[in-house]
Amino acid sequence: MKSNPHKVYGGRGRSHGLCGPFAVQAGIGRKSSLRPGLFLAAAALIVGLPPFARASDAALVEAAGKEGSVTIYACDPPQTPLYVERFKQLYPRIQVHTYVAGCWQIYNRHTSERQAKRQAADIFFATEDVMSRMSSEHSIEAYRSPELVHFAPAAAPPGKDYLIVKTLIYGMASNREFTKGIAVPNDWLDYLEPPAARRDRISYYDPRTSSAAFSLLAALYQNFGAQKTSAIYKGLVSVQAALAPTTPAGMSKLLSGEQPIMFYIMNNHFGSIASKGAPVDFRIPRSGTPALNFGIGATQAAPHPSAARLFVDFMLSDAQEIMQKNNEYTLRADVKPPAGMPAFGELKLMDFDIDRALGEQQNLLQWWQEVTGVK
Amino acid sequence: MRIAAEPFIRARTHLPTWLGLTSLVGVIGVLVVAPLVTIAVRAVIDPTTRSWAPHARHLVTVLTGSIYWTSLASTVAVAIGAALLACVLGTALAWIFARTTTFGRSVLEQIAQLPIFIPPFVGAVAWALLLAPRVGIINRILPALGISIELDLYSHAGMAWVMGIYLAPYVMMIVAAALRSMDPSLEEAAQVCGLTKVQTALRITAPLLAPAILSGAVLAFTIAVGLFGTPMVLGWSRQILLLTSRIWISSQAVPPDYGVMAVLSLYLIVLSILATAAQRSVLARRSYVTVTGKGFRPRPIDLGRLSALTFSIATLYVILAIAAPVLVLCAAALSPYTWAGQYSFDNLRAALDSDDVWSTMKTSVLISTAAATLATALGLAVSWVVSRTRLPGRRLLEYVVLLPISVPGLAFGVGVMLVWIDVPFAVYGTALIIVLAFIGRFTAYAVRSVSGSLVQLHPELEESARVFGCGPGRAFIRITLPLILPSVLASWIFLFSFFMTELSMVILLYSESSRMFSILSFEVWNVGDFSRLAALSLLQTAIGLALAITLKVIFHDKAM
Repeated sequence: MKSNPHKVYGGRGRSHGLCGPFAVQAGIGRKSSLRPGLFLAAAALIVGLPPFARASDAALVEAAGKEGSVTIYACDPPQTPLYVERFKQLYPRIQVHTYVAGCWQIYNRHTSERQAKRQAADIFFATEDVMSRMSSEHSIEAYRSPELVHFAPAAAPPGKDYLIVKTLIYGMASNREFTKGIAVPNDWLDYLEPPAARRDRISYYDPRTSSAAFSLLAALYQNFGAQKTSAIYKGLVSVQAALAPTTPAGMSKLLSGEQPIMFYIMNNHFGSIASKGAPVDFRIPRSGTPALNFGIGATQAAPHPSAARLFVDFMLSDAQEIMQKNNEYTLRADVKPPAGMPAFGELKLMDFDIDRALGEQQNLLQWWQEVTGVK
Repeated sequence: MRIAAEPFIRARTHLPTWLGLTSLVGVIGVLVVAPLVTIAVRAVIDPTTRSWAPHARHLVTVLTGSIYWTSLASTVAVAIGAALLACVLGTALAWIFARTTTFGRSVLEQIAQLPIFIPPFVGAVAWALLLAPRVGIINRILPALGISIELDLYSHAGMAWVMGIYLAPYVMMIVAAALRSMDPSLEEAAQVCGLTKVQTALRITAPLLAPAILSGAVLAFTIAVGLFGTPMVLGWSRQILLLTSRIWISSQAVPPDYGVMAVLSLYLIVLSILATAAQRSVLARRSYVTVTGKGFRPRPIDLGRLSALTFSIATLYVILAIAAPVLVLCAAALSPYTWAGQYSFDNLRAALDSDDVWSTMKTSVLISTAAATLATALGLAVSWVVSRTRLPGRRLLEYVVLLPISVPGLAFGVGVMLVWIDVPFAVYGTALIIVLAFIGRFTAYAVRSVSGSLVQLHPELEESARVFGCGPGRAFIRITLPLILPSVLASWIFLFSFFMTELSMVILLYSESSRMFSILSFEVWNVGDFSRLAALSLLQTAIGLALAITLKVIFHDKAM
């Protein structure tokens, strides 16, 4: 596969030869309401909004302080500690407890606790597939933070009880030191007939154990159809790509050079390794990339309801700057895109219907196992 | 009057014993049986359907699924390989360190214990950097030396190697403890009869050590079948999925497939029972009592010229099996990312300066200390009841305690969670639930470690004390306990090391107030930061080692 002019977002010692203008291409459109929201957000930015107002009123802060504690269930290990640390600085009277694990793992634990009437979670902070399911099960409180006035309407998806606080995108990563002389892939379709030079050089991820891997599988299936998606995964198998249960295992292998090409990496994960000066590059696939939204919500019957709302407000205000600094996109009008990354509106995003993906989850996983031969 | 009072007096005399035994059975019932029963029930009953009628759906799924049979075969093959390697290495090293005058044995022995303080999944990642095909350090050195072999860590043999190296210190500790408690008069007699030192070691010492070696072998096998992190790190890329990996896949389903998890756990329980039964069958044929009422003082063997050979073997093991992965960890801890080629103390400094790291470490040490102490005490009590009483059902008691040894932490953790989540008082969500889970699952290790030494101790020692008026408790504390102290301390140390690195149960049961170091490490691993993970592991290893050395100093060489 020949690559089009392509932008590479790199770590230390950027490989200039690979850089080109970032190409926004026509083709796969995005049906979700994110894009109009961004125009509104941009408009809001032009008229000028006050920076990060602490929207939570004094009464809420006082009530949360009296509760004295908030428990957060999150599946965002790189960033959650950063948000918590800032929240503690702002509200030292409130103790913060966290349970950070895989997205469906925290969901399973919360479900068990609710069934036993021993709910601990005040806050749920997870990928949109999990939040959507929780919303449909009415386990999220329909809280609309006053901070929403600063956001694109897409931050409050219609008919859902959660709010979207940030968006991640999928890119392709490679380690320059270990891919010299190897044509690295720039697009999902570059895996259709991968050259032999990529044999044993690529890692990809198991959608049975990684929610990000499942979302990508579903997005490719919805956009490219069964035949082409099947060919992409068969291409990976043909060059003996190493399957890993979760993305971090792939990141270790990317850095050590064992598998110097990652089928995908999330932009925030990439930001964390690039910031250390690792010789890694990030490519946004030519034919588009799915966006992975992170939602937040106070749980129904939260043990500390005021502290939970205060934390939601915090995530829609002060935490937004932390997200931007860590290479994540936010929908807040007064927050810039991550440094060195294109504006969110310039990204070519794939359509992705989460509810449809969840409805097809079992069948899709079974299909993927048949295609790859993974049992 | 006197006749009428006799039953009362007899009852009063035996009351403490019966109360103690009842409490022991009660504690084991709650901590061991309840989680196991919960797992077993989940194999045949699905409470989510609101029907309590038993069914065979999950059994059929597992028994007819070829993937599960493949996983079972892989598990058995890898565990046997790991146990054999651990036994050979552990026994040889124990003999060198405990019974010979090999130069530097004390220092080498301390270094040989290092692997048990490193979380197994961290060790597996370190080994991957050494032995990964194509880019592993050793695989890059071999061609430079003119050797055209490429070692492949991502294989059954690779997994057995990494597990065996990790388990060897456990076998070493058990066998060394038994060697230190063994009367050397038989060895002396053998030498008087003309056997050489090596012949004596092979024909006298090794057979006498059979209970301890078998104990170690069964322990290594059962730990290996229940390991979760190592097979995940090394087996996934080639889809060599052991039973624990299959259990993890089932745990990730929504909702979790507790039924399949339960059936797979039952597989592992059966493996544990078979291993224990095999050990019993071998030991039942002979007596292994070597410590009687006659006094003795273990005397190290002066190997003369052969001590250079034993020194070389021990040093080679330490360099290849321990120093190499530890050096990889050190290099990673000093680098901003793998193979950065730049070194600084930033990661270590950040770990030492972090309040989060220290508070998590403090929680880990407190939970691990409490759980190791209680589990060792419980293991001691069970071992004593089994080997020193004729109570009906004592063998059953031992079997029950040994059962969780091979139940993977994930499955046992689910059992513990389901038991305590519904009780009306606060155990779930506190540090107590982790302590209870640790005791329930790991008391078996204390029993394994202690029973090996107790079986070598003739009951006449306690009987003599009782002739002189000591009660059973006092006789045990004054006579038996000092003699088996090395085993007890060895048991405490390896339980402590287990608890400090345990992840699979803790991940299900922890809350912020009981967040342990393994969770912190897991979170760091989860963001792909191996350098920071290595720094944390080194800190953890240093603290574990410092504790082991402190114990050694306090107990004057009895703690290993």
